[in-house]
Amino acid sequence: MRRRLPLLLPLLLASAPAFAVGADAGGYLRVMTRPDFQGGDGRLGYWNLYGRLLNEGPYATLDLRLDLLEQQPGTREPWTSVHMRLEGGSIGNADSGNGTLDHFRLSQAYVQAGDVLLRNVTWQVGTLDYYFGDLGLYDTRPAEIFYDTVGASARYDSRHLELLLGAGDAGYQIKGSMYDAVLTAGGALRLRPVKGLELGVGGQARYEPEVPGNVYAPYDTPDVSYEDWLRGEVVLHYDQTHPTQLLDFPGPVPTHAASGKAVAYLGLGGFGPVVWNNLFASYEHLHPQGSTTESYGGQDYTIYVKSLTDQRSALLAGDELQLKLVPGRLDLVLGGLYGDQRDGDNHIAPTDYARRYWSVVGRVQAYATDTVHFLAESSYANEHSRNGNAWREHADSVFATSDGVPDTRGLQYGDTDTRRTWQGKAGVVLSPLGRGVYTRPSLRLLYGLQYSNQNNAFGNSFVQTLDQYAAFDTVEQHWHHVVALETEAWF
Amino acid sequence: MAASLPVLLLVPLLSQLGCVPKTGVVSAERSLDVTVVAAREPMDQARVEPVPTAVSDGILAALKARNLHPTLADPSTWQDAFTHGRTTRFRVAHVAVGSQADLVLVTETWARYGSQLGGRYQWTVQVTVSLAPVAHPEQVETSSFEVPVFLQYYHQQEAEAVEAAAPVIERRVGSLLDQYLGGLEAQ
Repeated sequence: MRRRLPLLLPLLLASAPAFAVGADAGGYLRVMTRPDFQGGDGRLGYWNLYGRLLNEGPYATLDLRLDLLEQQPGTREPWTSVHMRLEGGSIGNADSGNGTLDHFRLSQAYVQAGDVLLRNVTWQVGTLDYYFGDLGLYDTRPAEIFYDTVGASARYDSRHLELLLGAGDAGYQIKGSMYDAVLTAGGALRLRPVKGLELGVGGQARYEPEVPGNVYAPYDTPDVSYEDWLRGEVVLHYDQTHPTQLLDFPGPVPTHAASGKAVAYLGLGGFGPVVWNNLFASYEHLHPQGSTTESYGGQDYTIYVKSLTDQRSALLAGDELQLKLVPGRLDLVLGGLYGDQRDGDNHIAPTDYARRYWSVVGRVQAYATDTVHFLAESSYANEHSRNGNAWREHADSVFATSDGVPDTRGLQYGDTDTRRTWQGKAGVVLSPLGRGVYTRPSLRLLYGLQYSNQNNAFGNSFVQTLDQYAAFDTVEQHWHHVVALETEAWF
Repeated sequence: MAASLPVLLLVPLLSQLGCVPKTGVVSAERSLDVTVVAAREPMDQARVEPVPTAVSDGILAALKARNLHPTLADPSTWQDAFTHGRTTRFRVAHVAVGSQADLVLVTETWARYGSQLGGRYQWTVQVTVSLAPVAHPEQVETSSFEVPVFLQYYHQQEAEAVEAAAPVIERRVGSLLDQYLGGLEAQ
């Protein structure tokens, strides 16, 4: 070896660095055509509680990263990069939005810097979205924090431990154009004590302080009943109980608001046929609303509703188990999702804040060759409204609202408080990159079938009214068929 | 159920499409010996590691498919040198100096985490593949490329990211070999 080395010296001196990195563009794409001859909008059911497959619409993400100072392997030199993400749920010719840019948003933008001040610590300033993982069958991330936050975070990452601490402002995500500062802080801890086992806990607290005079700060309008607010009759009742005193309609009383979220995660796998199992759970005390407006006597009145909306909570738990039943031939993925949403202020009207739901999904994928796969999936879901009827089982159910009794003043809707949905899907998948349930890109030809006890349980344009003068008749159907040609890719 | 008829009809057709034969590769006129090194550079440590087996298996398969006789070099013969010498040309020269084969093939990889994207963990695998005659390592042919990789789980780290890039690495190694062997044939 030494004999030849002097001959190679000029070559070694002329050497260039092994690596050079600049900008990266990545993203995600989901586009499909699902001509629906039953009057639907191309989705098999209402939402991904029945499995994401055939229940989601088009989506596109463009993720950009520019390394201002590239990270080099084996060194502890500082590095920094800029990240931006554009995403939206519309693509030309694939949905009613036709891919117009108003369906897209700059959802994430941040700068990261690593190995500055502290080793193995990544500093991030900008948006802070973070989650422990994903339920692929549902396209859901129960253990997610800082989705609403812009601020700063520090993430320590080592072989056995990941620790994230962050703080910022969630006001724009929560309150939009009615912005008020919502301070938020929290963190996440993930442990990997041994190979094949991960544990995680985390949380986020939010606080919106009392700011007298700021019209978008938290306030309460005193002496408002929940039912009056729900019906839009707060001012009407005040006028009835205080004749000729509308000018004295109670003004807002300043207060503060708080909310928070706790998340947990258990992951294990790598033994027997188990590739991995993810179990996620979260409990969130939702942030209260700000205000609503009522018109009465030609004048607008603002009703401040912090105390009417500050008892809302959401429990969400989900599990996904990925199995290699026959290695290289047959894979199975099983998933389950449970949600329990409560509203301590509302005991009278069905809403999405007062419901309980669960579902199970199973998907098998068989591999005829590396690139040709067969897929079959089935799901069953049960959704229950805590505050009475919320769905129509029949086209004429308008006659059976409020526990089966016609009630024009009723707050319930439809004739059942429980929606039960079954779906089955099957088809062929072309996968250029090989085998795997989640290998992408995939080009899919799928057929889906749904049965629901709800009438027309999919996005549709059928008339709901039984008005004798309506130009169109109502339609009653519980089975729904969809054929889909679609593709999905990360790139 | 009529809606499912097209699906059922297409199943045998698509199965056949999956069996479409691959286009031919350029084979060496005579079997050449090749010393192969495939290295992974961890982000968090200086010492260079061998790539996961799936990657080296793919590289060996690409070589064998072209009538080449590859031998995977023992990591003990290059790990220290690769750890201290971080340029591609140095590494090719180092392997060539210790090899009795006709060619050396050095594959360098490293994986860099990007972000959480659509439920996946986005990685970029940087790959440099270098092929050179043992007698003239200065005549090295190099191909550098990036492979985007999307892993499903957080516990899948750098080694898994490089492993996930194995099919692309195998294909690009094959492409470099085809160019090189095609050139040899032309001579």
